[in-house]
Amino acid sequence: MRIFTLASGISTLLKTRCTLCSIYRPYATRKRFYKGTAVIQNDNKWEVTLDHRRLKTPNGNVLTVGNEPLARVVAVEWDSQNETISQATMHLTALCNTALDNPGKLTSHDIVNYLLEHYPTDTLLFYSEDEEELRDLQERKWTPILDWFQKTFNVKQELANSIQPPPVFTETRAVLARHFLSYDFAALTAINFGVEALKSPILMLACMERRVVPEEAVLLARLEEEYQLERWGRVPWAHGLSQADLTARVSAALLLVHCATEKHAIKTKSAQDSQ
Amino acid sequence: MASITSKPVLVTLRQLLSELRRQSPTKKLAENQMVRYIFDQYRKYQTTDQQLCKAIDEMHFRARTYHNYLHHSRKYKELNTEFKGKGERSIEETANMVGFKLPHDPKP
Repeated sequence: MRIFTLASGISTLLKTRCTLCSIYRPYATRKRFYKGTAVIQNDNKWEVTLDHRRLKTPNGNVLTVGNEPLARVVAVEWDSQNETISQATMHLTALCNTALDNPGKLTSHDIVNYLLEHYPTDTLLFYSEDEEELRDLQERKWTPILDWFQKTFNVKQELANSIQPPPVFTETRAVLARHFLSYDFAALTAINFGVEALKSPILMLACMERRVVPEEAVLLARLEEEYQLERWGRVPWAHGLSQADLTARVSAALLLVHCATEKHAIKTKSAQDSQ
Repeated sequence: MASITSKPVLVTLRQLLSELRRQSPTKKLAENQMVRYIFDQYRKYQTTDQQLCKAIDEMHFRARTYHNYLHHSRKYKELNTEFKGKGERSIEETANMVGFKLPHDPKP
């Protein structure tokens, strides 16, 4: 009898812990341990503070960013965590961390190489061959972006036949490599993050050059999915979730690229305007 | 020319503020540092937009990007909490589902 009670005691113990795990702790979360967040400037670098403690990266470095807007958006991100800190959804912080810690030990050239290898398999180069309707939709939505891309970068790009990636001219590679290398390392990690979400370097470039906003870019990247949804119905926990996730990722990446490349050579106008 | 008074710019500003209001734990928007910063930025580019070497609409585009980020990460969290699985069923629940009882039901 004693053994039984002991066993049932253990099993209830395990059970409660287990239910707690599965209900409240699907992944490791921490309780919010700070009241407010703020930003401080420290010789040309900006830092985020949580109640006078400096925010640090996973490797233990102090999280520093090059400009004010970026520090502010990271601070807002930490401020918007209500009871628990869910770091999995804090893309801006994650991107800043990656750029500072560089866990993959990558260089800018590695990332550019990766992006160039990704380029021939760009989503926008693969038009549907079976579905007439889908093909029409793709021509209406994708072709303007492709035309814009070829005109802006002054390159020519063929479309793919079947599943074989299309050939890429050496000049195109050179142009794109030069363009990507003009960004610094932090921006490149963000670009890489955005490209992986969109599965399309061309769309990411269109975002970076302010041709489309992230919301539209994600719709274009998921064009076939949207087309199928019209026929088969929309499931919020699959399609809605992936759409929201991708848009958040792409806009975080884009925000970081635009902030990181910002140059502060601004002269404010004379005091008359501010009155 | 993206003047601060044009309609789309103001719409974006309002959307941004509404997202910040939903996410921020501080009650009053006027006390929120980010809101103040955004207003500062909007005012800064109100008169001098043309004199800066920025592409037209650059600030507006950034505001829209940030709104996209706030809106969709909130939506993601909402959907996730709504549809998140509750994990495995306990032995007792499973037994009840098929009409069995556990051998040692603790009596209350």
